[in-house]
Amino acid sequence: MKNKSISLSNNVEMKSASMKEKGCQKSMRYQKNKKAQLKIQEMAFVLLAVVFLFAILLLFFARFQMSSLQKSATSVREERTIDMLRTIASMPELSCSGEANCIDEDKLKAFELSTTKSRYSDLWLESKITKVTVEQVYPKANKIYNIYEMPAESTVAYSTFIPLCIQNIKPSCKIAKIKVTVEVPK
Amino acid sequence: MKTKRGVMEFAWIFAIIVGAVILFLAFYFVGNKLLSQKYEQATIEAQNLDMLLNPFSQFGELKALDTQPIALSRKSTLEFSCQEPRQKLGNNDITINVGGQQGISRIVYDKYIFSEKTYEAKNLQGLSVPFEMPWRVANLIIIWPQDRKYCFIGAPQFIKDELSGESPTGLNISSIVFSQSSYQCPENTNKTVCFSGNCDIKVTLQNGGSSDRGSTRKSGQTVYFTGNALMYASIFSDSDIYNCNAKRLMARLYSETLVYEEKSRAMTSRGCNMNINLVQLKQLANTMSTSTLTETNINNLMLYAQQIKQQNLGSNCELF
Repeated sequence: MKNKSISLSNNVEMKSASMKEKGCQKSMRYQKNKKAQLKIQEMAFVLLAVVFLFAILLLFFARFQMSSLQKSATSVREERTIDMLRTIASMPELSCSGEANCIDEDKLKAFELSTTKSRYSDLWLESKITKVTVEQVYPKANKIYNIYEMPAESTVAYSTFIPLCIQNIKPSCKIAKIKVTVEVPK
Repeated sequence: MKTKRGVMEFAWIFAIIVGAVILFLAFYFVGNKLLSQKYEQATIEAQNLDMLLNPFSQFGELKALDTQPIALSRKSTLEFSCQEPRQKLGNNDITINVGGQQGISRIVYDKYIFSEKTYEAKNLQGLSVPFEMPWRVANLIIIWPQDRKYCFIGAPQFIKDELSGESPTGLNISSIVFSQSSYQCPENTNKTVCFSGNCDIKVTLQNGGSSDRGSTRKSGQTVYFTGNALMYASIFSDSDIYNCNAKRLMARLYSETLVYEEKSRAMTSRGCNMNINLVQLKQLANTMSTSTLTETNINNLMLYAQQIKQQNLGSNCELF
């Protein structure tokens, strides 16, 4: 009887010991899992931060590129428009015979009224020019010749003075202003 | 790196994958940036060439003939093409290829560029010649690589006077050599141009050796010209570009004739005695803007232009 009771108590002790061991293993596994989860979370946050940082950097870079591109587009358009002032003055359709940098008023009137004006539209469109006018400034008169016009929103104008001559038996000259309006790059 | 069981740790696998992705993205963006830089460079180069050619189209009547060397920032492949007028004035396209990357073509409406279709060059030789029919219609821009040597064999005196350094007003173009026979041409000559006999480019001048009328035979194709400007253009340019630009010039001449017609009316109303008939020239120019130059067309064009020139000289007010 005594022996039986001893073996029973031993069994109970062993059972409780094994249960304790199992519980300990479970809690250890649980702790390990929790640690791994934390590591994964940590990694995810780091990755998120890295992606975020790269996105911000990319955004800044794109913005910087855009602004520098816009600046160079503006300067190229400005150069081209200023050059266009010279081109217009030397066009055989408008320039005086035998003289450079002078506009023939008769040719100007003819060009303004003629049907051929539309044939030149590509030349202005390519340079984003929206308006070309020649205005008599001296002697003062309200004379404005419209070579080309197209509606546009944001524009900037460049101008230069030029002799406006008329060929008669006795030629005479006035002073005019060529004004070229160009679209601002968006 | 490995656990006891020999399995790779998650952290390592993850680090390798993320690292590979980051490296791939870095290489991808750097490669893309480099390519876009070349693309940008090629586009800017074409734009710059167009700007460098601006003075050539604006010499106007101040200079009859002028030349300037044009330097690109690096050796590039240049491509030129031409679009026919089609009720407008047509255009030339300049495309530059830098390091294998082709940029955006520069569309040029206000210039008449006569050149070969494609070649590699860093320095270009440019020639600006006014095309008069009978007034200045436009300035022709003729360009070729500076290192390409042309040998003109048996050239008439007026060409020697204009292009060589023999006369004080001559342009003294280094890439053009004059000789009496093909044996006298330097060894580094790339193209021979002869005015009698056979060689790479054969120029036939009619009307007693003047540039009034003639034809140029090059690579098995013949093109017709009238005047100095078109003669030089036919020597240095491809026949396709030559014919297309000639049509563009005729379209421009037609437009200008309309302007001169109006001007003539205005001058007559002010008491000038204008007996100038522009109708025939206008009609012919309009026809020629859609068809290739032929010997007959060229002869008629020159004839009408000479008549108008005489009529203009006889008027008490000058039309042009």
